[in-house]
Amino acid sequence: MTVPAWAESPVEAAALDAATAMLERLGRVDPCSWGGGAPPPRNAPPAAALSAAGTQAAWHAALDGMVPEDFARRVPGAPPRRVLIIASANVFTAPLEWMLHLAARGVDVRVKPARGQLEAVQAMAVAVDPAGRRLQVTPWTGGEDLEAEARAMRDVDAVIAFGTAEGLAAIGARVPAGVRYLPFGPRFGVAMLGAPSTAHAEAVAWDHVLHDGRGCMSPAAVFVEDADPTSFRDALADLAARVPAGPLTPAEARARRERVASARVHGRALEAGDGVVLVLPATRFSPVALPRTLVLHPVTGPAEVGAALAAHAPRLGTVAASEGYATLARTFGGTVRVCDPGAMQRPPTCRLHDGVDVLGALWRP
Amino acid sequence: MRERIAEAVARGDALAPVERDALALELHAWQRRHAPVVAALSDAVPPAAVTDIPAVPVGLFKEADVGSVPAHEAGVVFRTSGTTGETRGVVRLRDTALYDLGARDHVRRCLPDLPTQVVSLCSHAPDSSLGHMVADFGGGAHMALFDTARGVSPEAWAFLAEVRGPIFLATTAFALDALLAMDGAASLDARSVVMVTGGFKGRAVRLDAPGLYRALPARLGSPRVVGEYGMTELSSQLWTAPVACGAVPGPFLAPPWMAVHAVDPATGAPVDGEGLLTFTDLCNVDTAVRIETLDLGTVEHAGDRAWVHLRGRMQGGEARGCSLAAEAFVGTRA
Repeated sequence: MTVPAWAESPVEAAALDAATAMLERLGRVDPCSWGGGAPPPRNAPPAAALSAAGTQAAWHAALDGMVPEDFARRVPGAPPRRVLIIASANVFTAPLEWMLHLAARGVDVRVKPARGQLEAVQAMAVAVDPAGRRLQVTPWTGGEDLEAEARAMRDVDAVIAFGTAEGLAAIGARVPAGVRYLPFGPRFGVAMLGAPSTAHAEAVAWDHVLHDGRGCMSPAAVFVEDADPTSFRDALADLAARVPAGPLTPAEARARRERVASARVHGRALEAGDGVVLVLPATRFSPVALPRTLVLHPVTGPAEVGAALAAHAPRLGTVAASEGYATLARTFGGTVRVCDPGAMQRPPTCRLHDGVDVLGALWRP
Repeated sequence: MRERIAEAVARGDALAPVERDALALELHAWQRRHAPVVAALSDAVPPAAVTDIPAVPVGLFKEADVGSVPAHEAGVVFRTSGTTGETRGVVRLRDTALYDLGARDHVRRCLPDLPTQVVSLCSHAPDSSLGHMVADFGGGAHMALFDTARGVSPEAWAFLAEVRGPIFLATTAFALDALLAMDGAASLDARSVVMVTGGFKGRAVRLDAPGLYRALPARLGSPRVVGEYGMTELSSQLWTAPVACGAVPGPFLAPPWMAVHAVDPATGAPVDGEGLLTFTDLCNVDTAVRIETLDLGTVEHAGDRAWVHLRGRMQGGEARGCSLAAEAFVGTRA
């Protein structure tokens, strides 16, 4: 199953009206308006860490393909009264999908923004629910202000949380008894392209540039049967000119220098605007994506891809596959979303999230 | 090359920084010819200053043979620590002569009255560089109260309570914490020295460093306490000045044959304030003369001496996914 059971359910008029209005208002949001343009909010949030063009691109990619009907299909059972969403910071648009699904269906939503993303989430909340009746933004310092967390969890039916395995386990231990807990841990994405065309290279470079390579839908690596990295370098350099990278955190920058060093030892490193294309043997595959660091693994065929990914398969979330690799991609399990190159960052909104039917789990029979 | 470096190390404090740096550049040029990893990281133009020498990130030791010693020519192999199944970094040395020469020289510089009776709460696995150093301080004889499989020996306190004469108690911070968690006490006098090494932050637990040091007088008596900073990828160590039991050791003194620089994590360029620590260690003859760590700190120069103030380990950049920032959930509480 790749879509939830309610994907073909009838559309409910009230929810459709609500979702339509919400998407219209979201379409008018200027994502660079929050934070007043400059300086960025304290703690250098990832949303602010994108360039202005990067923020615009990521915002429009998130809205692209969202259709009101997806947020209005009837889900069997009784809806929850109130749901708390605990967001993470890699992808500032991540909570939007569930805010829409829930708010359009009349569920009260409480959102804890990730560190530094208060203004972004507030802007989304205002667009989704201008009157502030359904949607409440409740910031607190994650892992520290446990009283605020307990207050936020006190009268909710469910908690949806995004985070590291350790963070999610810690939160899970504090979720009150009787409250449904849906944790979503780290995932990674890859592209499997066989002999890539220039169009493939451009599409995957775009997948990588959105959100500056952060997030589980960014390709951490690209498996190719043609070792020539030129088209990827050109594509990444071209995008750098149009959508410059935001600042890297010191840890990201340091990790990128180490990955470049590894490529100089084991393969090749090519500068590509403000990014870099690395060619490394598939045995050097790492699920850790780094900003503007497109890692190519030349392979002889699907078997080598499978071997490289075997140890990490449980965390594989998104695969952009060209013809010949889609079948392989689906062998990694039911939670992998397989898509065309260029569509990695635009999942269908009527979907299973990491294999979970979120609304199906929240609606009581 | 090896002989000239041994001679320089043996000169100790008489080795001027300018001579050290010239030797480092020479050693790098040699390594560039003989160590493929160093060659791959080197630019076409040879470095003009120590800070231009490409610093090998410590992570590369886990994925490549850094150095010039083929496996079949290695006299000793040290490995970085790691959990089961985790890839461990490998350091191959032709022998430990230079390693031992430097370790002995610098510990005596920092601890002139180093007790020769060595008691260890460190790993003594054959591939542990720390275990090798500690054992060497005891002239090859030491009392091991730690086992990598079982941790601190249940007999540790009984031994420490009955030991006679001054001892050099070598321990990692986590082993010391485990020792203090066990019942027992000892009355070491001020001739004894407790060496604490290793970080205070593990994968899931962060130790309270001041609290750990404060607890020592009540449990161990009045030994002096000294901090040691070292790692498998470095052939030399840094030591703090000894402090009274209960106090927290201060900055670490680098040996005369080592240059230390704080660099910008983003660029690798030297910075004046806090940065990633890089070490140019002449004793790293068999690997790479300059390495870049994941440790943050500042470097204070007093005359020809470099004191390093450690600020902790650089975090982040490892786990990515939808949820990097959920690190903030556990962040400083880990």
